[in-house]
Amino acid sequence: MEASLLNWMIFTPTIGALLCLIVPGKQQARWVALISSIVTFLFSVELVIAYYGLSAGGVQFETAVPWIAGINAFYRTGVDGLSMPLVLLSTALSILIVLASWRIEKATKAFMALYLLLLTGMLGVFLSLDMFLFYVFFEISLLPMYFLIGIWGGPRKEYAAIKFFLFTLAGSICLLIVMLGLFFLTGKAVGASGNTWVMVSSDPGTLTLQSEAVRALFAMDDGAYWGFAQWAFWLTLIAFAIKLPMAPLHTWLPDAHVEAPTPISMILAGVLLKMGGYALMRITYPFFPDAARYFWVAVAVLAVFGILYGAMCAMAQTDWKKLVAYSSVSHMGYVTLGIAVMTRTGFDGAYYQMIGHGISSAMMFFLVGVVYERAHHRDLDRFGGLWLKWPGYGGWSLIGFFAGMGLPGLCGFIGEIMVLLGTFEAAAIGNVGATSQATVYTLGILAASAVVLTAGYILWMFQRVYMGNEKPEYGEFAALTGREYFIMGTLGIAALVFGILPILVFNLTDPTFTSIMAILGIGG
Amino acid sequence: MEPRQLIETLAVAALFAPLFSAACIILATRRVMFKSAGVLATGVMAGGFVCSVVALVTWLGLDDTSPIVTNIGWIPIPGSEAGWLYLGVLIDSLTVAILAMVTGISMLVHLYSIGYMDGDPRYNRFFGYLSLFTFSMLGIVLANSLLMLFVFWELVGLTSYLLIGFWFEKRGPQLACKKAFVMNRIGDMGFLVGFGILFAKLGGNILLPAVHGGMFDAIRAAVEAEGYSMANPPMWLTMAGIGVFFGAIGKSAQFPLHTWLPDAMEGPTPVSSIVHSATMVAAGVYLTARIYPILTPGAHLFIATIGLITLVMAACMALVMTDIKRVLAYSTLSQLGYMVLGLGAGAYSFALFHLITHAFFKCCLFQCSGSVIHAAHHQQDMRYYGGLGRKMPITMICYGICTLAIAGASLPFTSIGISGFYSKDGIIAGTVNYGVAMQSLGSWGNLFWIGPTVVAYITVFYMARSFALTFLGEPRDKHLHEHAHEVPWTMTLPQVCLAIMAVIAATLPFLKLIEVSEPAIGGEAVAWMQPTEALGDAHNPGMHATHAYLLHGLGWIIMLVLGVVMYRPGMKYAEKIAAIPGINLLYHWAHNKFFFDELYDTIAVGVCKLAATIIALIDKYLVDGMVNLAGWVTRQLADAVGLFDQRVVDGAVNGAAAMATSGGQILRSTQTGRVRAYVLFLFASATVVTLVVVTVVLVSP
Amino acid sequence: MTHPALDIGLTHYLLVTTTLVAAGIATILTKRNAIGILIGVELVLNAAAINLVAYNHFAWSAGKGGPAIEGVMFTAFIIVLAAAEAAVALAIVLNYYNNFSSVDVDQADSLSG
Repeated sequence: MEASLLNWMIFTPTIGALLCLIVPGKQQARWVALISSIVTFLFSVELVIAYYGLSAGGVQFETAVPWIAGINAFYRTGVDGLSMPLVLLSTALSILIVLASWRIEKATKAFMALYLLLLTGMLGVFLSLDMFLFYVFFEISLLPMYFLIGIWGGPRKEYAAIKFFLFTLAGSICLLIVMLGLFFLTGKAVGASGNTWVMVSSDPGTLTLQSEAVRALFAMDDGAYWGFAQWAFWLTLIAFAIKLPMAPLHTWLPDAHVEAPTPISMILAGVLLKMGGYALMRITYPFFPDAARYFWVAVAVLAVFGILYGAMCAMAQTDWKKLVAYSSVSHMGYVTLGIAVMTRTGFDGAYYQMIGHGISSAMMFFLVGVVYERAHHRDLDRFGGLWLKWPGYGGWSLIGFFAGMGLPGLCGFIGEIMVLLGTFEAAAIGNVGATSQATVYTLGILAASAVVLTAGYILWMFQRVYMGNEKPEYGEFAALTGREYFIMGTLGIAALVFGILPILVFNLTDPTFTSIMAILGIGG
Repeated sequence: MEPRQLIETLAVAALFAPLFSAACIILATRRVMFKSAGVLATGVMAGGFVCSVVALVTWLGLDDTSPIVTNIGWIPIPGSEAGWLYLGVLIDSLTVAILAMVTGISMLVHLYSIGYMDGDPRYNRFFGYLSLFTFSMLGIVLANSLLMLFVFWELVGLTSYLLIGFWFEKRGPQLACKKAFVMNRIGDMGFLVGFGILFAKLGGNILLPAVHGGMFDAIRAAVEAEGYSMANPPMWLTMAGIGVFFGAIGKSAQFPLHTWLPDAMEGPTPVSSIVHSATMVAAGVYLTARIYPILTPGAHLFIATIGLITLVMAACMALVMTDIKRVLAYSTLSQLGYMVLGLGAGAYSFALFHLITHAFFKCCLFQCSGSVIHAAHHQQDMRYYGGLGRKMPITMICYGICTLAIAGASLPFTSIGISGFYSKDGIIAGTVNYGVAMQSLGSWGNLFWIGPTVVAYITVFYMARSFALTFLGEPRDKHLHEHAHEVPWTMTLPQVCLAIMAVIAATLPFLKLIEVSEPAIGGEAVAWMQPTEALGDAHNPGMHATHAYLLHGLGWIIMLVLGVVMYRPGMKYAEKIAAIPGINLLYHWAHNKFFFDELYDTIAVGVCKLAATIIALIDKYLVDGMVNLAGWVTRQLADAVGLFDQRVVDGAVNGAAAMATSGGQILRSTQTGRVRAYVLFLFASATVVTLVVVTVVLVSP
Repeated sequence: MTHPALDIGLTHYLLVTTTLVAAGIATILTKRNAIGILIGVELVLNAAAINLVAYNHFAWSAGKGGPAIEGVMFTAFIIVLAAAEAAVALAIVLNYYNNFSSVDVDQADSLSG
């Protein structure tokens, strides 16, 4: 029952998308989009409830239907602790994003249809267990985004859309190369079992394509395995680091965000970036843990570099939305760092950082969008006094931006501090090999220093936008609508709840993470 | 209810009381609650105070004074032994003492704010922030683990940001609140690093207090596992201690992160009075006390040095400030320096006792200054005051009493004095012992006691100066003086209460409670960090062995009289002195706060902004440029390929056709259509063929 | 045996036929009159016929050592062929004359490419 529910959940938005195209008017299309996203959300809530009841670590509600026999590809979906919270985040955000795009007047039907198609792609990415299916959904999520930015975007939308598309496509190619490598190098061994593309198995007894299983596929020829693992690790890392995005592969992100319409920025920062982190945890690290351990310093250095680099770039921006976009680069650096150090705390922290950032970045982009809709510019130096103009909006902004800053009690804090603690933990536990403690401490201190930079750019922005006296042109601004307050309020309350009750997420993820840690060869 | 349980319940009630009122005030609309916000918040805060006083009294009656600990798992750490990072409550004798002090002062500040903030357009919001701020501070006081401490630590940072920037329309508060938060964050970075190191070594077991079966035992196990001992601690432990103490440097505004505190005067005066007395700046000292047992001798030396630098430096600056609140701000810095130095020097009890006594008299001083500013229409420059004592007698008396308290006034050649005397004396006695103990530093070790002793006299002088300039002498601004008036009771009442507390605090059982909590007294476990272990006398407020204190009784009177005489007529003597060559340079230097702001603005902020700009440019032009370059190159390549395709590949096809055509054209000319020509060809060809064949046949063998 | 100078051999025949061929070709090449060309063609043909008879007499019979008839047969064919060819050619010439009112072959260049 849940398994079919899960499949319905993936394709409900697709059905909605078709309906959007059929219905006669814009208003109907909006309602169709809203209703289908609400239905999707309700499905996911039902799934969470069912999942909670099981409290098991393995994959649940699995569907496996043969798909392309020649390459052993299956239509295989299911959910585990790694995907469940992200699915819920996506479906919950999707409702708010439909609401946020209520005012889109240009080709509304197409917008809603594309948006719903995007939702299917995202859910498919999180819920597919077959690597081939994963790849297909990964690509499906790409195309609607291209149009959503390229048609409904700002002045340089074509440039941004093409950049986004090509960048991500380059990543997909890297993934495809690895998939081809896996297929051809292991073709013989898995021909019989038919599990060529299984990313994670619901039955712990059987081989899955992870770690030992990947090694087994190479018939214990360590030399061949190691050579492949090194390449494959970096290729998959690049594939997902582009999505994440990890500096210096990030430059598509500011352009995409700046040009994208507000709701699309929200979904881009809120969910699409998480696909990268999710895939790192799902594919790169469990598949090639030896390589991950071997190269951890390089990845961690890149991550810390990204954290500081993103923060520095954010500080220098005068475009409000670009500042928020660069803050995403910085914050997603914590995700990479938490994964790279390969400690349980780091992994947990990285995962929580994704959830927290999903809430806070969506909120930040919405807060920017609310003002942009009225002021038609985003120049930080031309704002000021918004807090006086709209005290309620100012209050929610405080929550949104300070959640982004990682203030305790708000959702950004837990991920951030756990990643930092996990980084230091790496020195003691030594999962990461015989690297000297000094390296780990240096990385930890540098990562910690980002809290100062983060505070710097957020507070400076806050001062320039919210503090001071009102500007005369604010008089023409329309009052905030109930719809806008609803979106801000929901996200703000979510930021508070997830900042206070991390256990909500960790209860879902704990058993799965324990098994992932076992694959990685890490205690805990 | 069982008394220990009662204490815990009351403490938790006191913790959540201000959160409750803050939530009510912030969530309620202006129409529902505006004027009533002040009353509500004050009332709830009074409830919290009552709770904590009852808890204090109950605690005093307890036989079992082991800490009351409740740990609640918050963040799961599956890999570690503890399994969780905990939130929760830790109540020991230090907690109940500080709890009562914080709630009491917070209540009085709330009451004071009702008068002071009257008429402000965001009157209700102020009380929301103030209550939230108190909640955050109480969270620090009750914290059971480093994590919880850090959580509320940051919340204090946030709420202080909101309070300092309360009048955010003006540029000063905007900059001040940002500066405060960022400076605090720099300290927090150190805190995080120390926290991280401890976490790496201990896993989730980072419980406070460090000594009572909390993280201290775990640290000792970790240290011994590495082949060190607590007497010969490893480097990481010192690093961790200094790291966490960096958080205290930020919050308690120690050198070199002190510059935010004077700027924080941009906030409303009630904010200054609570931030600079009982709460935020106290948090750093409290933190240091909480992690006291894990501080190695190296960390102690570091802490003592920071405290020494701060107290000397701040006192010098306080001497030359003319803004009444800034004088008090620098005196706060200086007094915090005493506390930090005391903690570093091993005078644990007196440092914390000074925290409490200082909280009362400094809160009172700020409230009095606020009353003066309120009465003087927000003129803060003391050069325009003078003679206000006649208009505001209550304020003057309170200010005077607290001046004596901060001066550490005592009867000459006796050990009877006002509260500040006991606490400051204890610290100085501790530093004397520390200086003696630090023989390894040679004569430099003596600075540890010379500094605080000299600064004690400077303190008297600058406080006398501010008192004389404000309340004594002739009015220097007639208009201001005419409009000055005594403030309403909501403002004088708290002042009076605080002044009374400033006098009698030493007779209350605070010191006794603190001494019980001192880790060194808990047993030999922490004796290794006590270079001043032999400091028996310092634990007894009645005994002051060094003659410095006996002289002190005379000294403070001399300095007080000097200050009053010199500044009663205004700044004229001071200006003459400041004009003396040599001194004028010093004056200029001190007046500009040793140019720390300029230094930080240019070096830290400037470099940071420059770096940000450069990196952003790099990002835009280099990193993104690479991407665009790749795109451009691809396009050029595509163009080239297109050209190639058009010219070469397609050209080959067309060329073949063209060749065929031209070949045809050439052959065509032979097709004359004339019979005779054909015949000629025919025969000519036949001839040629024949010749060739014949030749070949003949030539070939 | 006869005097060698009077002993007519193959070479003599070949010299005669070569002369005839050369004359025929020269006629064909130089005459613009179709009839003239036809005469040239006849000369060439007859040269070939003589050649064949000569070969039959000298070369073929000498080689085989017995009576030979092939060359004579070919010659008979050539004579018949020449008659037929002449008939066709004259028919073409007549038609040509009907179209161009002339038998000047140089006017017939409509096959020119």
